[in-house]
Amino acid sequence: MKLLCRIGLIAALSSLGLTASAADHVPQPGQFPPPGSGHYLSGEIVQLDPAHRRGALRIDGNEPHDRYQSGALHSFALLPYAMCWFNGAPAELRDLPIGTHVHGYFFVPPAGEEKTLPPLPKGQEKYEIKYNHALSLEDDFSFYQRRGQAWKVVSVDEAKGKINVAPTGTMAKDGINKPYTFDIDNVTRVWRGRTLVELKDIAPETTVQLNLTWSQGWRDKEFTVSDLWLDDAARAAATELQRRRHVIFQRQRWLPGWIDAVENFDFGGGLVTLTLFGPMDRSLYDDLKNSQDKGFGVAVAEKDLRTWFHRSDKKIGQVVEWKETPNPPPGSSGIQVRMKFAELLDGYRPGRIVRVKSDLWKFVTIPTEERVKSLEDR
Amino acid sequence: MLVACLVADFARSDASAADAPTKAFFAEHCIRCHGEKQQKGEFRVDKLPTDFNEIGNAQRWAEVLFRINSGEMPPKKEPQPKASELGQVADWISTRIKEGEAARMAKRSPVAHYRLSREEYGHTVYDLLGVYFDVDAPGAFNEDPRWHGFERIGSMLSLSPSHVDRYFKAAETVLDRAFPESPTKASKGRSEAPTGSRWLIAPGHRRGNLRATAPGLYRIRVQLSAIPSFKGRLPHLAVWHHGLKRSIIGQDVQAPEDKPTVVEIETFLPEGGLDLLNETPGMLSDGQTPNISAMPFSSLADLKNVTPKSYKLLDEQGRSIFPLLIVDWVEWEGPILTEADQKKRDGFFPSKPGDLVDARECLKRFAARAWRRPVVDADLERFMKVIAGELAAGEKFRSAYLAGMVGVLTAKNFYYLEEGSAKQRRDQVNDWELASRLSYFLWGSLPDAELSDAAQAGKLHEPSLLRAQVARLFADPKIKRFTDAFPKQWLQLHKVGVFPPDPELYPDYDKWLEKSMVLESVSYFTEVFTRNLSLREFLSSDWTMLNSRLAMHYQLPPPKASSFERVALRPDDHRGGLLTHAGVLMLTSDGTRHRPVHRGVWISEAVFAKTPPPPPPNVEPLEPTPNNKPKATIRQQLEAHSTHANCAACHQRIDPLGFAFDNFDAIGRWRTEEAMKSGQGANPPVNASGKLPDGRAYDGPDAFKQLLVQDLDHFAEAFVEQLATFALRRAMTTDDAAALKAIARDCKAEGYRLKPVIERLVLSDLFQKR
Repeated sequence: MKLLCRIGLIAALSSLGLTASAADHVPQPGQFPPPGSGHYLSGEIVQLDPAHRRGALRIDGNEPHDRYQSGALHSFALLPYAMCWFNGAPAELRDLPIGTHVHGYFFVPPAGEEKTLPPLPKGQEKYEIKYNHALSLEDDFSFYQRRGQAWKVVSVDEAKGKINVAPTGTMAKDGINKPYTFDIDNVTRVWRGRTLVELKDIAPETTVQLNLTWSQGWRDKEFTVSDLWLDDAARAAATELQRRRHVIFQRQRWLPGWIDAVENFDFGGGLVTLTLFGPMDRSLYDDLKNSQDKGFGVAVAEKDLRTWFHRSDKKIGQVVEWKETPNPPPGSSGIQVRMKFAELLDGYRPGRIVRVKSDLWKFVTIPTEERVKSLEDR
Repeated sequence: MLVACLVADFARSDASAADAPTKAFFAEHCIRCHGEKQQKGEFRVDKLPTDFNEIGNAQRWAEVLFRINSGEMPPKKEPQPKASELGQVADWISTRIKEGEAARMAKRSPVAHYRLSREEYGHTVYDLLGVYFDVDAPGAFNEDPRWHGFERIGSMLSLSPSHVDRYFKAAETVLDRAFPESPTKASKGRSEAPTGSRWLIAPGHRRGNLRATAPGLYRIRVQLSAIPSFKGRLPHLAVWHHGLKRSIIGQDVQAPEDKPTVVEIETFLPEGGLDLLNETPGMLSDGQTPNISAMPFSSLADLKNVTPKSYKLLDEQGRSIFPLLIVDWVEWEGPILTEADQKKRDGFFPSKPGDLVDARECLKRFAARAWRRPVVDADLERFMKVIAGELAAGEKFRSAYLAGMVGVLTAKNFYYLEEGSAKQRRDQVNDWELASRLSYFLWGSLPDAELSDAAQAGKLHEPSLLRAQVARLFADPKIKRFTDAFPKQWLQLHKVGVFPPDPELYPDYDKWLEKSMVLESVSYFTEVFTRNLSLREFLSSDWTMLNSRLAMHYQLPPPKASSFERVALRPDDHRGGLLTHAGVLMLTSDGTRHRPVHRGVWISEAVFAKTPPPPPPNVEPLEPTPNNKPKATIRQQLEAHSTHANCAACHQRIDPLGFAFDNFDAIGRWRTEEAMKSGQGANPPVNASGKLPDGRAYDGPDAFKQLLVQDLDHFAEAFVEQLATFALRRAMTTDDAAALKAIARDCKAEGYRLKPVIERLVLSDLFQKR
């Protein structure tokens, strides 16, 4: 009976475009998921709550139960160490425009957080997907480029609004990895270098990256190209712009991480070991590394990475040890820092989230919606 | 060229002035340039007088010592003496200089004056009038100068106009409190936490808002729970004075949250606002993190639901990280005037205002008691004139009479202990002077009625009576003043905390630990005194006195009591005796590093009563090991430093005394390797082995202490010298050496037990000699 259930589940997942990992990992505080774990889901972003790092996807695939046409949205929350990618660079959820088609790897909720996301409305329970805590979300540009896959233009039919492409390079394990026809229209942004060009400038045999969005064809897994980058210069410019946005955001909000261990001193302060999430842009880690002698500000944060009033609700500790480990697990930067504090905050506990500031970064007051105001507000 | 040698005339003028090797040294290395034939630098040593009691001679010899120590003499181009030869000469000159200094300090004129130390002033006015006067308060009195730790040496305690001014102010204050215009009523107060809540007092935080309306004795009662830290560190309840910005008194406390206890503290308080303080290290307040004291609190369970931006008070297992005080209420009452204190004033103030006959009688009684001797009418005339003058000027009788009393307390007869007579050369103190000597020795204050009566009867000097009085003084609670003051001064405990330890290296260090260090040595001395143990216990023992804080510092199990308690030690604890007390080990350190040379000097002074020659000026301090060099212990650096013959001579004798304690860091913690911030490689292991100047080898502090124990006779002589310095308020000289030795020798049969040692000193001729 159990075997039949499992076969049924696998069949259902396959029809949803889901792939079960070898290890059905349940996220734990203080523990990064093993490499390759997580359930692949793709879909289009239709709702966003960037401050709380939550949103909802219209999942690709019409099975089961005519899901694509009639099913409920799939609400998700980003895990604390989850990374977003946009235009080939690290991003925040807010950087992904509504309508962006994304790929992600998801887990069941961590223990005790099963109710983080609201249940589906009555009658829609059949559409529930348990894997609603994301490890990553990537637009098509980032997803394929980071895995070495690009698209070669086969042909463009402006009159019919179609572009035929074939995958090239290293094939992505998930996503689309076969020749495909996408919609294209006169609002598709076509980039050459830093310039917007016309559809007619898309020549066959050109290797491109593209981003996708909803298609009016109403058919399952039919997409419209929202953006198309014709050359390396165009792709590099888009990536660089997003990289800068990401760097500025992190310098203002500080780098997230969690606490691995705390040694409390009964005469005041203690030693705190923390691991920074990642991988983020290297320059951010270098800022920290290069300002070690000034100590780091460490603000207490919540699972959605919101801080309280981080410029005040932090303590500055001295760096005792900076350790980098190659090939870190997903979510980790591989950077572990041991710090000594004269005073400890209550939020400095193993598994709890913090945000870490370099002395090189200016203090700013972040917008009200990003600040936690009370225990109930968490 | 300066340095030279004596020899010829030297030998002729004073055959015993230098021993044979010293004479040979001068002949070989000095005389050629600074003698009869040549006087380079217009200086000849062969004519330098060897009367070191004369300050000018001593200064010239000090110059010779300086030139030798600094390596300037003999000049480099001349044949160089061996390190041992240099050491002998430096030691000879240094010893003579010290003897000369002691002789000058001990020199007594027909009338010798020994000013009361400020601590003795405080005790004296309390015993005289029952008035508590805080001599340590800012602006009250100048700090007394010390001589090798002793703060009651007559020749050091000079009198300046500022002293006189302060004596006037102090006298007015004391008398106004003793004889107030209207009786001072004890005030009562109470503060309590709002219903349903308790005050959480975290480390370094204060609550209570008490008030001492006037200086005096107060009784404070506090109902509280006191939670130790997860490591067993106890909360320390202290009373904090707003004006003085320091705690007045404190004690460790422990009481479960659900079983609060009531702590009662009786103490003298200066006037002003006070708070209850949790005087343990830990929580700071940077003004950003919400103030713990402002947080609503009823139980520790509340702390499980604080915001993450609050200070962390509970560990991951829900235990209190810090020692916490949880207070329900505090009550206070004071100033309390005890019947005994009130009685001290009887007969000093006229019962009938305006009655000058009675006033004269009262003033006479008062002056006799204050001056510690009989008073004749002539002594009072000038004070009676003051009273009459004040009355003539329209002052009320009380005010006029108090002016006369102020005169008594600001007369030199009060603030000086006077010994001798201007008209008669006396070699012995009289009975009144003896009474004061004894009383100030053991009680730090004036003689009581019984001692005065014995002096009045002229029988105090009789051995049987004197012995009985010593026993009585021993048994009186005021003996605590001796068991407190003597070890502090002998061991130079005032230096504990002078160099605050580097918080980076010693984050665990706190003020209560600092106080506990001093209290350990004082409690230890008190224990030896109370149980009448042998002086041997000062060198080595299998016990010590610990409170919870020190036990934690020594990594020993905490004592059961919250105060100091005698605890047994095992050999592996590496403690026992005074020399391994954290305070002793710390007072010779500089806050960052231990200093073996200073430890050696301290042992030389405290244990052998011998002060080594001073270092030459401009000695470069030891620099921290550069980061590109292998880590080296202080000892290794010193050994490199002392390869220079001029340095080696002294260091060979001083350093081994300090190296023996290299297993203890700058705050007296045991270690087997010397940790340091800079330098390459692993921390080097400690080497605490060595050889004493007499050739006996030791390996570690325990073995070193055993060598000292083998020399108990010498230590006993040195101890008697320290005791006599304290008792007689002067430096001991070579003239006293035989007497000191004899006292020590007489104590040997009794196993050098402390009380007989003190008693024999008091009964000795030395004690009664002027």
